[in-house]
Amino acid sequence: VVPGETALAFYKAKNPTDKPIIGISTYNVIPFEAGQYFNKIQCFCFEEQRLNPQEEVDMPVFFYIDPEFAEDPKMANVNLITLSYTFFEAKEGQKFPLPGYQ
Amino acid sequence: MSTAMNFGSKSFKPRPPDKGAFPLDHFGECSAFKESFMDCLRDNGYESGACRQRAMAYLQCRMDRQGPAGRGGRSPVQLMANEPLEKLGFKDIMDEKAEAKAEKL
Repeated sequence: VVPGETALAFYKAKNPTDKPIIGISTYNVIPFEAGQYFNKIQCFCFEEQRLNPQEEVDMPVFFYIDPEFAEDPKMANVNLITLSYTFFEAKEGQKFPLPGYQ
Repeated sequence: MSTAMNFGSKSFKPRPPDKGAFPLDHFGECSAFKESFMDCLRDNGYESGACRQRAMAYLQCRMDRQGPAGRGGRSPVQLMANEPLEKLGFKDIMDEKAEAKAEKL
């Protein structure tokens, strides 16, 4: 990807059980310092998503790397940024502690 | 899991997406567009820039489709809220298209 250019990526999730699962996902960016430059325009995270038994779905992420990434001397050696998601099973009334979100 | 070497290190603070969450494409209505995009990436050494047209087509597919009814029987939501593609970082491609159209006339 080129900083400043919007990009699309896909993850896939499968519910291998015979019961529907409601999950919420959160993400992590490595290296840590690159996280501030990672801008998600839209993704599947932070909201409950329901997966039916045996269902497999594509999960898109539409994002861009802030162009200032290219100006930051600390990022000069960063050639690989890894975005990972963890899917948690949602519990009744569970909210993620995200100040200012909704 | 704490070590003594973590003075002043911040924990990662996730930020919400600018335009919120994508509803799941339960019926795979846009899977063909996704496959086309992934084929392009594989053919181009995973260079995102080479496949922007197909990325754009995937997002357009989402905007054109409605998913299943929301929970509690709410009416179906679009797979993606309508947004001019120029605002999603595809202005240069849209400008090219507009020029090509203008030339044909």
